[in-house]
Amino acid sequence: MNEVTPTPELEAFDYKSDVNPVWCPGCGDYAVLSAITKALAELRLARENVAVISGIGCSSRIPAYTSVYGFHGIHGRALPIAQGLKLARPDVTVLCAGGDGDGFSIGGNHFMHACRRNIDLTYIVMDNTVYGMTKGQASPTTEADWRESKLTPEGPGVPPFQPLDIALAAGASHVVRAFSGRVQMLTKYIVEAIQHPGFSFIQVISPCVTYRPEMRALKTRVHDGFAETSTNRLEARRRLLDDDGYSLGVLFKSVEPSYKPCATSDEAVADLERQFVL
Amino acid sequence: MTEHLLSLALTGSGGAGVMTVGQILLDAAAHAGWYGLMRRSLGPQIRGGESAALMRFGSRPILSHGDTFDVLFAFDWGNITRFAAELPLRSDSVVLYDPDAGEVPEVIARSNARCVAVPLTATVKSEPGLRANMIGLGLAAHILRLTPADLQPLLADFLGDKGEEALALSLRGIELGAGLADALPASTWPVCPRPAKSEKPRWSITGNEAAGLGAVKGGVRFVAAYPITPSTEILEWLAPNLARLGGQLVQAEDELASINMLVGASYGGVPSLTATSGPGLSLMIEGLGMSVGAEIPVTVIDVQRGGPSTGIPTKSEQSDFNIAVYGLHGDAPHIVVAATSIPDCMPTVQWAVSAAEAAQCPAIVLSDQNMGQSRAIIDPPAEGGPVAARRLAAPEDGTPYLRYALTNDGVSPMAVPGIAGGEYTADGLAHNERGTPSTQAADHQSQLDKRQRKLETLDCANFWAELEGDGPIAVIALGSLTEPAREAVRAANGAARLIGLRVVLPLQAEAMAKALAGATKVLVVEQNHSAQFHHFLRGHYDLPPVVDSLHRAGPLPLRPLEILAAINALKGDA
Amino acid sequence: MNSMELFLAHALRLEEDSAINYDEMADALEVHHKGEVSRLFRKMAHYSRLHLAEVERRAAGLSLPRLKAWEYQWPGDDSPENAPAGEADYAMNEHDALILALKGEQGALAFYASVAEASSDAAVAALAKEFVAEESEHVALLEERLAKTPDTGPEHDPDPPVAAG
Repeated sequence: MNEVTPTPELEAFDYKSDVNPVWCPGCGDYAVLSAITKALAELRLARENVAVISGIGCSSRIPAYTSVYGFHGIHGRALPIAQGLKLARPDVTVLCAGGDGDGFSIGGNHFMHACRRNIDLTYIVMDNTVYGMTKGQASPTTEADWRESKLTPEGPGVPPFQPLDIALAAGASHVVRAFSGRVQMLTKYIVEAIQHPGFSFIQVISPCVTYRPEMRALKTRVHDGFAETSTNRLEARRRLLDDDGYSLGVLFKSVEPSYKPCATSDEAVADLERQFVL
Repeated sequence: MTEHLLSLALTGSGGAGVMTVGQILLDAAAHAGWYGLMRRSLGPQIRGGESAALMRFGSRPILSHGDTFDVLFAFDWGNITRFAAELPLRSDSVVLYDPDAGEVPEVIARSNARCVAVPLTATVKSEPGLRANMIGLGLAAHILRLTPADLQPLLADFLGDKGEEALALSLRGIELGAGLADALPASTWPVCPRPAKSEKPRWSITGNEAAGLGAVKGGVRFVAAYPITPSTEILEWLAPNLARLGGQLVQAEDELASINMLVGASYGGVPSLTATSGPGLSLMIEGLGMSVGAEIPVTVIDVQRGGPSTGIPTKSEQSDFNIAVYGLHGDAPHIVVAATSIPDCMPTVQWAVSAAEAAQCPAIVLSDQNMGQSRAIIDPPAEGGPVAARRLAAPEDGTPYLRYALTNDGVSPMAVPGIAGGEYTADGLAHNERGTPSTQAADHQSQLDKRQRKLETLDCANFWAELEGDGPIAVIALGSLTEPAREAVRAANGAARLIGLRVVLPLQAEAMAKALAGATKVLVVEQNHSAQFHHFLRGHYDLPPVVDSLHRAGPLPLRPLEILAAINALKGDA
Repeated sequence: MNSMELFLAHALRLEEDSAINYDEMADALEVHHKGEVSRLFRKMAHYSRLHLAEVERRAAGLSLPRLKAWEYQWPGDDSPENAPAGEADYAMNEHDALILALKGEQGALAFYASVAEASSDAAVAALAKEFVAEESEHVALLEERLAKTPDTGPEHDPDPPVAAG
């Protein structure tokens, strides 16, 4: 998180734009938008010093619904855009947001390497276990036997991607699971993630009421399984062995080295040219 | 003043040290007053395999390879058949070979060149600790009338911290090599007097280094890199040198990441660039499309190699022309420029970066292995054109900021994070002036028009092409073939004119019409199998009625005499 | 909840969240051409704003604590009128919308009732009781309307969802 001039007059509502979401009524993403704007208000960040970067998908529409700088990029590439921005402009608070397909399937490689690089940004994945924008196909987090998609009539048939385990294995330094039905808690997690000096990953279980209507029932299944935070990566991974996928909380947090570019100096281009002179 | 030129090929198995010999020889020759050029031809192996240093020296600036080699010095015959085709010889060429490495192979002997045995191996065995490549260096230096004293000051640099003994042994080898040359009759060697020493200091630079220099001169301060032959040297040069300027380079996980990191950094206001080759460019295409739609400037240098697919990574071709020009999906106006020579890589990249910044769109720079990995001794290059800055927004209170405002020249002032009141969401979705996604025909049309307008109003006047001569046959050459074409045009004695096209996109209709005025025939010269450049020119320009195409796939470069022959054939046509 | 400032800070948050939330649902249902349902939510947002204005009036002159977003103490996980948002559905009919609104109002009522019951500060308890009375009125009105509004089942939609990405 960066030191910025406090702007006490901004409320959460001031961080919302006047663009109406394309989301379905009942979609969990409304609550995530609400939590993000509340977190920004909590941190009193000036709108011009925050950027929300996304890829493609229902949840990736989120930047335009905020009043800060935004980038609605291309499918799967939100994290490279966000990392490029943060490296070039370390003074900007960078949030990256999107869905499970965007982040774990087409963008899976970038996810792992963003965890490794540990650049100071916050990555919020709204995980609804389905591709909503293309009409309900299985996503990487969909159960192997889910048979509701014409594309995979017998179910995707492969075990679901394990976002937290992979984030831990790849080196993420702040790993959280949250639920869109608990906005206050999510707000707190986002604030902590922004304040964390490194790569923060928040998997937000965010129901798709259109293609996964059974997800409405999740509010009774989620529980505070990660109420205690590990600072030991191995222990955090062990805790995932008996995780039912609905434990909420900050699973792991540790301040670890971040990718640093070469040390710079302020020479002139003419100084560089000397190397070519015979 | 009589002009002296000499072409020399040094060949050997990988590990024989011919590249090092070539490098020291080029430097020593440069210090003695020669201009020079060294190309590399390598096999696909990491080490070993075959390697050739293809050199040309001259008393005047040399930016083109020659037609044939005056001297071939084969340290051994390992894998010679694999690249014999790249070593054209004449009957009056000289082939130096080591008799202990076996007889002169048929692929070389059939040129009827004079074959002269030099006992390399025997000399190596004559004293302990000697190395064949140093003996070869002493011998090769003699061809350019360079003495061991010319080589000595450079040796220490090359040997680094290998110690006094290694230096002494190397010097001994050079002396023995020079002795082998002295023992041969003077008639063995081409006439090649030492040129006058230059007053002004010259530069030694590769096309890839010049491209890197052009990038920082254009204002690039962020690079995301994924290594790929033959472009990697640009990235390796930029890593430390960008840091010296306060910029940074990050190694990405793949080309998808590198292009998108550029877009992110440039969205943040920092001019950004990467270098790649064909397969990498293919992966970057989607990101380049976004750069067009969201209007975020980025520059990509494509150092072309043989394609498609992995193709021939170590050897040159110009077959990415089509993907650079036509590869983007949708209607996606962008900038494509081609560097025309090793030193020209500098101003061309510099111009591309500043044009991308001015037009807020992507620029693709076409280079190729032939330029990128070749080293030239040159006069310090002329400064590039003025660097245009990106037009930034200064939003006013009370007026909503329109990121994609419809302006006269199509360029909409851009806000970057930190500018209060300029908050907007950049979008690859079709959008209205504000940036809000829109599926309406009118918004789509007006934004397409605007993006096209930016390029139509881009000022390319002093940069669009290399022009020379006014003969009736216009030779339109692509990229690194510009300099061979220039030699051919000069040799054609007024029959031809040269148009080395730098600015491929946007189209330069007016300038081209002016450059073609009075020309009755056109010869299009390019290095690819399907005459991509030829079809492009025919599709987009009004050309004289007779158009001929001289094209060939890599890696055998089109040579000046072949181009001259094509000019003469056209001349003969009624 | 034993101080007037703390209680009013909660009431402010509750009513503001509620207004924003109802507006958001009204906007979303408008996209689905559910005029009746949208108007109902818009009206609920309006009532929340009236109540918000009243709370603001009561808070005038007091220095309310600036609580962090997660420091509010609700009976459940979140601001009570916020909770039912996840139950919205594009095919909901007026009956469904009334049930959703009713749940929100009942949540608010439960919150105010718990304060009225548990607060050791007499003034806080008294004010909470006033709010209980108001919310009870809302609940009664909604229940009355619900009784008159039959459940017609999910709204028929012959169009399948659109692939948009």
